[in-house]
Amino acid sequence: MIDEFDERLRLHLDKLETRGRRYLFDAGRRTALRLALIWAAPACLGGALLVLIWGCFEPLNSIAAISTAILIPAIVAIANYLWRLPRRSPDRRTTLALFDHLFGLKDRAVASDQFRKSPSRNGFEEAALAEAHPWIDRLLDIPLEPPDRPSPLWSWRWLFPVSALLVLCLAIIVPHRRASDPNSAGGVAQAPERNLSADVTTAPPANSPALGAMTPKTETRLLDDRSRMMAPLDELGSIMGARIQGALGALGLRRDGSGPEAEAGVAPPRSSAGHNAAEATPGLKSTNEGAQSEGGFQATSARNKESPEAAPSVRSNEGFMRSEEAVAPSEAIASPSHAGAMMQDPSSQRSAPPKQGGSQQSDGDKGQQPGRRRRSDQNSNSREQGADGSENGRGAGDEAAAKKGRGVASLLLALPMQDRLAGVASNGRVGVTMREGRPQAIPVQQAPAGDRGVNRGGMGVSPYHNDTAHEQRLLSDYFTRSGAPDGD
Amino acid sequence: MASTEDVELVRRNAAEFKKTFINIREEVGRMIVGQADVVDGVLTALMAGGHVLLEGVPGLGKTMLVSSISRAIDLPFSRIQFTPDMMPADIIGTTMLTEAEGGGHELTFQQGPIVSNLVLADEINRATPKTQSALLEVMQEGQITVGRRTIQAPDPFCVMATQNPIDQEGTYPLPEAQLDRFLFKLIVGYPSETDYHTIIERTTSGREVVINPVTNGEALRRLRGIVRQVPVTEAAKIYAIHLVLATQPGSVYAPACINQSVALGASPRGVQGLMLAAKVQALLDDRFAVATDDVAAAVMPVLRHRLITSFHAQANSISVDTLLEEVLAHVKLPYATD
Repeated sequence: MIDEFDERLRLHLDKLETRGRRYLFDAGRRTALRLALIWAAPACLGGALLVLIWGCFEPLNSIAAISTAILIPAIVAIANYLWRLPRRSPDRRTTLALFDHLFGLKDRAVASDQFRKSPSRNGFEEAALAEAHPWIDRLLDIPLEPPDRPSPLWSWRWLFPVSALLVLCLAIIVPHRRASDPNSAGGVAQAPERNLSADVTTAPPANSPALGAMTPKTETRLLDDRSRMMAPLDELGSIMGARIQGALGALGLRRDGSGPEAEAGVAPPRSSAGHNAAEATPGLKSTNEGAQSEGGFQATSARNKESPEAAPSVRSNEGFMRSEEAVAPSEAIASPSHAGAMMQDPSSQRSAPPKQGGSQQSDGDKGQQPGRRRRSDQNSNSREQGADGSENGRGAGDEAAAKKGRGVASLLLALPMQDRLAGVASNGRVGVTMREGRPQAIPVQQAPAGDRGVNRGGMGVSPYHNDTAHEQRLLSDYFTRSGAPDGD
Repeated sequence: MASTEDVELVRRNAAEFKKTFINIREEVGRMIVGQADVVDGVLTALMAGGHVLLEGVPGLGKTMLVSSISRAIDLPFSRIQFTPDMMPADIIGTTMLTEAEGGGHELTFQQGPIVSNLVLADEINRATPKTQSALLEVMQEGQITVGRRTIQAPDPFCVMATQNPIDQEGTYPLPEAQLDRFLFKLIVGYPSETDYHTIIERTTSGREVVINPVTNGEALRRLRGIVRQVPVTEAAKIYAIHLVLATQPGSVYAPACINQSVALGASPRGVQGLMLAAKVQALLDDRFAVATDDVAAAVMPVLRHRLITSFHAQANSISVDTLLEEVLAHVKLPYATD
């Protein structure tokens, strides 16, 4: 009878084992899939970033980029899944323990399997088997629910593919836009504000020979990137600088750069050291692109000089600018075109005829001239700050003006400025809080006369010591000997 | 192979065990209001053959609980009130000069109050560690050695000690060696609001509560034997071992908090205590084999006084119970799958 019981129990346990093994393998497969998808989510972003980095060095093929962005997470997911896939089938105890844990059997299945194999079972083990058997019988009829469905993109993980998509779009769109930009297509290293300040009448043509034969592609891109990074701050700085200048002008405090350079009608790109050097020596062939660019602008300036229409136009624009600033200085920077027009090169302005007052204005140039005027003001200011008014000083002044404007923008935007001396971010303004206070008396304690000076900051205490016998004898001998002084 | 009669005998014994346990619990419950966990813990330790340390502030009925249990079991009971000026000889006995029957004097050994079935060591931490150490031998070996004389402690023998929290004034911490000899350390808490009503009715109405003995020393000895026969599954053994190892800093099973906050982990007595307590628990649950759940239920009372916390834990007010909860959460069940 006991043998029959054992055999029946063994069969039941075998069935449980088979079911449990299948369940565990299924669960392991699902877990592997879930973990693979979890790893694939950040891999999406990684792939997209890789494409973005790739696009920084080479022009991207859209199909290749998308394929790369898809393939990388797919490879990660497949490798992860294969790596985590259960290779060994779980042992019998593990499968039986699964039922104990799932159904709260308190180890009855595992204990039954252990005691059943025992060669000499005692009464307690037999009782344990008999007590556990109904529970195991019941288990055979209860279906095992499948493991939980994998949910890889729960909570915040969906951000990975979304971010990857955005990065991928960025990686594909930005190089296309750059390629469609005529300035960058010509290979010119120009900042974005250059486009903003592009003057139809004064900007050099994109296909100018001087510009077309400029820098190598990589350098152009690097400079372009740098310009793109600095563009918002520079632009805002220029706007703020113009606003301040406008306000000063409205108040009559403005320093007027009334020299002939200030009235130039040419709007070259932002200056650089090479630019200024080339400007100082027009005939010199500069090796850097700034100088080459400047050469192009000088040619444009020369054309403006030759052109009889250009000077009146400048003059009329100047007149408009003054009247506009006098009326409403703040409106001068209301539009991007105004802001862009503020960035102009002093060298080209220098080539313009002397300033002429007047209220003539040209509608076509309305949007640019005030800015040009302010730029010239800034340049004249910087020239005043220069040591000897040389071209070098003018270039430094131009740069300083831009930095000043950038600093103003930084202040207004509460951006930390870099300390030019220490090279670290400034801690900002240091405030001093003054408090009123009354003098307070120091408590005085009574002390014996001999203690005076102790802890009062004055003299210290002289240690008292008894005279030695020798000293006493000397003293008595002095006063008792004959011929001693009388009492004084 | 066990016969059917053996199985029936086991079933009867298990049923008797449970019935006796419940009877003692009910009888004690006539005197002690609430504190069900503490009563169960004391009875579990008594059935498992261990000693109990009850910790709580004064006035929570610790002494009354122990005296009630001794009356319910109908065993000789002695109470030792530990004081700071107590000496070891006051506990284990001493040799005294007495008058002989035929005249003259002789040295006779006077047994101390420790020689009794149930010993209540009241406020044990008010005595100095030297005096507390007088209990070491009798708690572990069940015998007392005085000079060249060795006295066997009666069977069943159980020390039920009470102590005030050690941060109270005039207390001395128990030596680790003695703490390790207690099977359980139970924390006696304050009664609930409804318990207070019952306490007032029972203790201030002038009504005498009589506790009747429901078992005796012989029955208790036999029940202790039944407990030891309960088989243990491999899973429960592995789990208990892993739990004890996890309390030892530097062990591969120890979680980070144990490495950081524990200076001394549980000893092998911890595993023994876990197994014995789990066996009692299995019998009370009408099972004939120890399961991992029984082991987990015994972790707190068995291990909480065996862990010596480090300065880091004391400085950060990390209690031993918190650490044990971490251990329980950290140690995986045997054969468990992720």
